[in-house]
Amino acid sequence: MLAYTLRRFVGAWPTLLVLVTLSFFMVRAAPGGPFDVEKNLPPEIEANLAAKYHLDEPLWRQYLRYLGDLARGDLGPSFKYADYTVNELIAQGFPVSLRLGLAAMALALLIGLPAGMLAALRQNRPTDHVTMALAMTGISVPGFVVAPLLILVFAVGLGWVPAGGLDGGIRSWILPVVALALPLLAYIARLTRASLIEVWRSSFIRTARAKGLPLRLILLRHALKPTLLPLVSFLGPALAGVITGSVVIEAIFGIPGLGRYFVQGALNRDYTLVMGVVVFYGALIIAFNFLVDLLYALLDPRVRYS
Amino acid sequence: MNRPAPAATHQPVTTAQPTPLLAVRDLNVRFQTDSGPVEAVRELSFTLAQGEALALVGESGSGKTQTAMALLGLLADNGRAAGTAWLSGTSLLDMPEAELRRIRGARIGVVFQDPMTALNPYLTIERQMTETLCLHRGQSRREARGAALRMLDAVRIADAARRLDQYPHELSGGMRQRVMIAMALLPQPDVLILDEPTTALDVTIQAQILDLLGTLRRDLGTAMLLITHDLGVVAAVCDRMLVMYAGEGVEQGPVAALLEHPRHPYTQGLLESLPSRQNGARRLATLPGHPPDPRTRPSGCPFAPRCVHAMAICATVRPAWEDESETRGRRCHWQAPETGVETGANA
Amino acid sequence: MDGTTSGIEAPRPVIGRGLWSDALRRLRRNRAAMTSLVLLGLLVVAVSIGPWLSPNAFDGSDWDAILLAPTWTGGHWFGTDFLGRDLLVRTLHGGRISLLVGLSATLVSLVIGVTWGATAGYLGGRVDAVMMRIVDILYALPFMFFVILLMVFFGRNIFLIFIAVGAVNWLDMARIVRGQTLSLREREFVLAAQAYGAPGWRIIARHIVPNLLGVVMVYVTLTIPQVILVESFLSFLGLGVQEPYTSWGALVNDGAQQMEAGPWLLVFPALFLALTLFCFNFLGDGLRDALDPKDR
Repeated sequence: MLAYTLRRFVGAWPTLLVLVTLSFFMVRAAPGGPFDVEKNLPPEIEANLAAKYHLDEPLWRQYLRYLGDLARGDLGPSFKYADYTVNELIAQGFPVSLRLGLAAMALALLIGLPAGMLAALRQNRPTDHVTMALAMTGISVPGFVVAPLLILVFAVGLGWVPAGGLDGGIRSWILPVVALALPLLAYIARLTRASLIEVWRSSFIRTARAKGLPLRLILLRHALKPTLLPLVSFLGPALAGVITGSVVIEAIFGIPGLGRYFVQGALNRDYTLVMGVVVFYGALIIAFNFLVDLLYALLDPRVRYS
Repeated sequence: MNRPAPAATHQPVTTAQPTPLLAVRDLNVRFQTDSGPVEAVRELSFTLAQGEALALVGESGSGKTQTAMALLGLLADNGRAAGTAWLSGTSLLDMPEAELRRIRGARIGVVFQDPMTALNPYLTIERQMTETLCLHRGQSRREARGAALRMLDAVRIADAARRLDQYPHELSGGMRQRVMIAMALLPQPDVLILDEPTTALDVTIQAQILDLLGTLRRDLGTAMLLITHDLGVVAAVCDRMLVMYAGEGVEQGPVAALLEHPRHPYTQGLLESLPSRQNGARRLATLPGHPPDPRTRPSGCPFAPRCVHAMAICATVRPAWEDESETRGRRCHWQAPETGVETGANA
Repeated sequence: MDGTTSGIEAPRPVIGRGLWSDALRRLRRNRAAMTSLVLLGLLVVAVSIGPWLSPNAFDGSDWDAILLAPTWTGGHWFGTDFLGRDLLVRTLHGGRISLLVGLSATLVSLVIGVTWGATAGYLGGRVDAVMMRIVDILYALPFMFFVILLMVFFGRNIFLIFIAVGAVNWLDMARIVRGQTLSLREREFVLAAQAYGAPGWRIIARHIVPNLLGVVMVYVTLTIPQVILVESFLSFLGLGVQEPYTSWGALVNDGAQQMEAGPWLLVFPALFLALTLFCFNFLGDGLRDALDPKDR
């Protein structure tokens, strides 16, 4: 188990390095500096700004400097919001996105898991077809379509919830969380269903049935763990999906989360902010994947000993 | 493998038997498929007495496994069983699911043929062994663990206490099969069904398992229904055998008698296709052709296309089952000589 | 032995069914998949010739007809937008772009993914390990962010869109193809071909590729909607195709902003987008079920 953990841990770092390098060079390679958007500045001021942000140094120097800063956890100052560092901006935006994302994941699991299992147990019967059709809808209809529709119906039409912003208390979280959770929920339902169907056909389930065990016991004791394992593997990509989805949801509902900062940063050519968010989220995903791998090993006795 | 010599300890079943433990009459198993209904088992009848070991012998696809599944109510969703099957006076085939569950494991145990996958890889050996006892016999985990330990010893697994806490993938194939046998015998069922118990194992392990089965039978007195295509297994463990072809029973009788003097051409063919030391180096005989596709069952005897003794009537009229004596019976038009067919190996 | 006719007749011929005809049968019976296929066909026809048949131009502003609700009469079946442009034509035209981007980006994904995966799978060993490690690393990256960066910094070139979007999705295809190739490589018929001396390229062409086709087809059908989704996402953020061209994503964006003034502006493009994705997903699922015999 220890060896497995170490291997996974060591393997995570090259990924992080690639991430950092890629984002650095891509951002730097973009035409137009961070100050092009504003009116043309006199050359001396431009030179001063360039010197202040080290833009006049050779690229590899900037890269190494950046790596050094990263190692210290310093993501640099924001190019656009001169009074703030990127760290501060992330600290502002991330907790909001975190709350949104966790709530969405929780909702998705809470509804998706039982729905998928029910569909599997009633395979090919009406319950199954209906559930899976709904799930298909959830997957096919993108977040930026669902969200405005939800707003149209529940905020504008029925007036039950506010159309945007976070001022309405708990109420204002409902639509964004639901909109973010829907595609995830649908995917989890489908995955669970497929997984349980597959597990149900296993030899060891046949053995359990031949031993005269009641359905409830077979389901909970024999089938549950192998069914849930593929879902654990899915958690990593799920997180990535939630992060991506939050960009849109935050934009539509006007929620001041990290996704919104990112889009703004991209449009403003705020190099450091954009890189900072990419690196931050990337590192988060990598760390999360690492934890998921560990969790998987804990759950599957066969992996533990390999 | 040599032509099997029947073990000396097996006696043919005498006729003065009380009500048999398991009595199956005219069992039919039918599946609804996209290509229409398919009959996997047709008019199968047999009995199993207390403590007796009966072999169901046949090629793959002859319906042996489906017979067992039908008795336990474990057929696939598109399968239906008809006929009668009595377990000590209780009818199995029309029993409601809740009652069947009480029978499964407790009165009829099963050992499947794939020890590599038949155990749940995510549960410990102890968990899987004790749950039947806790469920069917109301024992506590501790009592059940004790019983499991004793049973693991009985199936000759060393270091049983440590094994109980391990997971299936930590045991070898042979050990896993022993665990399966132990697991099935724990609740002390009246009948133990074994579906190809040694097919997936190495030859040396096979011998050990068969030996074990013989011992257990002697010590516990459990009746056994052994499903196999391997005549060596039959000879080593069983008292009587029922040969199946294309879902039908074609010959039945004591193992010794059938192996020495088979009276059905298919049984003869099976025996002839075994290599025999007595014949020296000679080409192996094979039965030409294949068993019929269950979807397109021809009229008449299903074996006719491959039968050396086929007559005109065989293609049109399906032979009925005849009991030739109190212990033997067969389904064939051809009049076999009294002493049975001379198999090449007898010479 | 007893002078009667030999009982050995030729057995009745069994009507063999190839893998493909079997799969086709199963697919045909999948009503959802078949309906999807038909709908998609109709859609393709509609977006191809629809804009030509309509009297309205997709970029024709009509100041007299601003924000009209959908009507049967008056020639604006889907209504108009804030510039007086006919929504039906714009929806169909946007559909062209969305589908086109979808197909081309999928093609990019396909080429990269299949090449990568098949090479890794066939060569095996070290090469395979390295190639798959790269895939693992790339898998962990938040690709969407990179795509957004690409679009922002390098401009909204339509070719760039194809490539960026395609580059996001090839990883899954590569993984699947590699897995399939690996298992195919070990199958008896390949070993048999090698045993009688067939050259490598022939083995790949005759044995491996046909068996890859099924899996690839399923994934292509499932990738197209993902790719369309990415493109719509970009357009929604204002990073997709440039005005006056439009795509479903951009239309949904416009519609979302004008929602209170004209809900039809949101509903119709959203409907088309959702329906298309729906159909592709159902079709892909159906193909997967049809080609996977164990899934019965």
